[in-house]
Amino acid sequence: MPPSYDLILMKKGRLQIKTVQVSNADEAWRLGRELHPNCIRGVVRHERSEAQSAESS
Amino acid sequence: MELRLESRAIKGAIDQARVLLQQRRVVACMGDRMALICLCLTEPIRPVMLGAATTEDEGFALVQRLNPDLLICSSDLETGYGINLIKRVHAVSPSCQRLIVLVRETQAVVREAMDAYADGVMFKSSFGTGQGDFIQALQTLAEGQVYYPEEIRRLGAQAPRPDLPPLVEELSRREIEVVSAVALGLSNQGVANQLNISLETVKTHVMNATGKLGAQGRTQLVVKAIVYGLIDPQG
Repeated sequence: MPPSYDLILMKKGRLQIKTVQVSNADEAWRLGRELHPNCIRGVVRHERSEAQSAESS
Repeated sequence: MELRLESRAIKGAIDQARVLLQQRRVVACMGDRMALICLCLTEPIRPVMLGAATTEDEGFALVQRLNPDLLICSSDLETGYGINLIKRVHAVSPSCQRLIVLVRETQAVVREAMDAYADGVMFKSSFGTGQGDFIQALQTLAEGQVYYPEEIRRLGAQAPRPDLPPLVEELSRREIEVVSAVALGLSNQGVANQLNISLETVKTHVMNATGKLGAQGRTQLVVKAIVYGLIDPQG
C-alpha cells in the first residue's frame, strides 16, 4: 500500500486537511496542486505508513 | 564559510564603505565583544567611530553624550536588548539613524525591529555572504531611506494572528528547519538525509517542536507552524 500524506490546504482563510495515498511527496504536491489550485500549503507524510512501507520492503 | 580577504567583493566593499561613511558620526553597540572590536577597528569605520559599548544602557548613554547620526547595534547585548535600545534612541534622538543586526531570524524579532522604527534591519548571518547587505544598508541610509532587504520584508509582512496565544518558547532555527522539511512531505529519515543529521536527532527536534507548539502529531505540528508564520512550505 502506498504511503499516506496529509495535504494541508488553505480554503477561505481556513486550513483544511485532506489525506491521500500516493507513491511519494512529489506526487502528493502534484495531486494537491492539480485538485486544489493555489490552496496547498504543505504536505505531511504519515510516519506510520513509512513504517509499514519499510516493513513491506 | 571562507572569507576571501583578497576578493574583489571585499575590496570593493571596503572602498564603498569608506565613501558612504565619510562625514558620518557612528556609535556601535554589540553584545559580542570580538565582533564589536573588529567593527570598530575596520579601516573605513574606525575614523568615524565615536564610541562603542556592549550593553543597552551604555549604548544609550553614548548616544546621548556623543550625538551620533548613525547607531549600529546588534539585537543581542551583554545586558539589555538591542531593539529596546533603538526604541529609546528613536524617542530621544529621532535624527540618529538606527541600523540593527538581528541574531535570531524569526518573524517575531523582525516584526519587533520594524515596530521599533529601525531605519535598517539586516541578519547577522548575511555578513560575509557576498550579498552586500551591509553596504546596501549604508547606501540606503545615506540616501535618507529605510533599508529592509526582501527576506526581512517578507518575514515582517506575515504578521502573526492576534488571536493566537504567544508561544511560551520559540522554536530553534534547527527545529524550524526540521518542521519545514516535514512540511514538504519528507519522512523523518528523509529529513535526516536532507539535513545531514541522524534519524534520532530528527525525532528529537520533531518532539520538541511539537511540545513547544502544543501540537498533537506531525500534521498538527505543521499546521501550527504555518499558522504562527514560522514556515512557508513551497513543495
